[in-house]
Amino acid sequence: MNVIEKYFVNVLGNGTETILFAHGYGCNQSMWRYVVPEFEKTHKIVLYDLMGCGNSKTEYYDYQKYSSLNGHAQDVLDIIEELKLPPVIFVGHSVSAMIGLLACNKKPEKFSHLVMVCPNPYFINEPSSSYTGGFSEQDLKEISESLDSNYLGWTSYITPVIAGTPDKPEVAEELKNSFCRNDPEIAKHFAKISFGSDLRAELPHCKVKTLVIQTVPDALAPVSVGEYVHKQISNSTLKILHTPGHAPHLSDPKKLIEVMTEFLSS
Amino acid sequence: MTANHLNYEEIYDKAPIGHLVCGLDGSIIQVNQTLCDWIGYSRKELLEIKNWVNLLTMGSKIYYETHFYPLLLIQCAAFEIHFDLRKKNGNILPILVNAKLLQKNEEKAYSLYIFDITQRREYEKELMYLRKKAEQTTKELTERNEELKRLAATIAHDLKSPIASVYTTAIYLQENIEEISSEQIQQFLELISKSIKNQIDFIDKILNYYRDGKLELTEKAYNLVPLLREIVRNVNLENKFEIEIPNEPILVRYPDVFFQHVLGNLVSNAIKYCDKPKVKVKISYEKTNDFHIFYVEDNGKGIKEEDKEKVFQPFVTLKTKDRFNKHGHGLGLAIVKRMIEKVEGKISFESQIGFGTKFKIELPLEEKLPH
Repeated sequence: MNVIEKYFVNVLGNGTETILFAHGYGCNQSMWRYVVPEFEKTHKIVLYDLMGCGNSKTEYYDYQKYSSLNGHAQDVLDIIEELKLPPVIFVGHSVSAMIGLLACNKKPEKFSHLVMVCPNPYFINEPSSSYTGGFSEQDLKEISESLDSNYLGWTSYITPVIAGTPDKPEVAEELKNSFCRNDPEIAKHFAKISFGSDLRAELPHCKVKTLVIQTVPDALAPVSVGEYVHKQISNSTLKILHTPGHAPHLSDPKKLIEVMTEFLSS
Repeated sequence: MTANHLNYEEIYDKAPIGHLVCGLDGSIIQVNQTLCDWIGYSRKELLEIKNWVNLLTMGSKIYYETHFYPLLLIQCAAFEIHFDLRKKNGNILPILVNAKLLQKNEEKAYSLYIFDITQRREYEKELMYLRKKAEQTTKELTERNEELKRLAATIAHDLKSPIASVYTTAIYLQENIEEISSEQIQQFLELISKSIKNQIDFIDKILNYYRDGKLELTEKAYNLVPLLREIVRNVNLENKFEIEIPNEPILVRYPDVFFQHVLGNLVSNAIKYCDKPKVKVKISYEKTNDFHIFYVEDNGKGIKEEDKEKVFQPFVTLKTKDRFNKHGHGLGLAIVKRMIEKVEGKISFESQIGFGTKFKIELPLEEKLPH
């Protein structure tokens, strides 16, 4: 099966440079809806759903392959390969920021820039190294339980009131049906991987020019995490956005577009 | 009561539903009395806590950030989202939330309608439990079904060919009875009865495996060592193998057939599958506060990592042939394991490729046996 169907890839816009957007845990590519229109004017945009999420072909969710984020990083490389993309600007939110990092480390020549939106390389506090990831071990256990109990939350049909594209109603319909719905078993598995992985050791290997975006306050990543990521990646810039929540592309897209544009044109 | 009597503020405050208005960052702007009562904080305290997200358990916080909040921002509403709130006394209040974005000019806030779903949650837990149980049962039944399929295949295969040869022999005898010497007839009949005897033994094994016999303890404890000696003698008639057994008396009340079967099987396997010129087997024993523990150790080829799971499965035979170049039926160890587990004992082993295997059998002391 081709990557377009497998990861529900959507290609938009025109431009010599390509931005590949990867969404975070718990949602799908429609998270980028407020950011994409701006960049669509100047760039080629590639959107996809992480395997197991949204409209990806979940029958390909191989629990073995995706038992580490490397599985997802390989998918990124497969997409770039199959679409024959020139070195891309990779924009990854949350867990996808880490997936992008892994992909950059594997094949740096395939990336021109890496934009990490609200990254967290390791969620658990480690007093021995005075690393503050924001969570205790106990917190992490609760996540799994919480996902169990939200079984109905994941599966129950949610009717979104989203703006469809008038000239392509069928696309809008498809998005509508799938928005933020995830297979609960996969969601649970992916949560364990997303919030349980320790990728700190990967940071110093990153050779790609990187922008680290940290929001304040962010319940999933204290400011110290953004600073840590910035310090560990030598070729990086840190931008702190004073917009609440873990998803500035939804809560303050204007600001996010601004810092991204500044970074990309520098 | 008429509409004139209605005090909307009071209706809001005492509605049988919790209500919150929050800023986009989650800061509490307004809260009704019902919610205060549910979670045990006064309105003043809640406004001091400032952010309702702080009331969420950690798991719920993640769900809030990764699912609920994006939903709210994209579709301006979210329905039937389940969270856990931490009450003032530390207990958990499971809630279901419907939320809607409020917008006046540039100002945005969201309105949360909160249902207490403590009872529904219990019911959900029950459903989850039953679902897991059903999945477990399905898994067990599937395994059982596989086992039966293997049984059918094994029986068909293992019984058919000897019976077919018995049949051919019988036909041959029938047709040529005039020309065959009585000596030869005798030989043919021996062949036939031997073959049939083998098949009867095999059928017995299958019956044993599926029979749910009850274990009868002997009234008095007896010394197991003479029985061990006999078991060893039966498999070592020509005294070719080096088999070591304990000298000290071992007092047990498990019936002798139990040991004949369990230890007999292990010892004969150890011999059958040994690849060394000098077969060595050692049976040893120790007693703990709870268990009789027997070890059966050999110097055989060892059990490969990938075969470790299969060893105790019925009708699964490993690719290896025994020293008499025969494949087993794959029932021996399965029966042994069943017998041991029936008394809530355990069987396990450690193995080193090329050096041998050490089986460990733990049998609960007789006075601790389940009734």
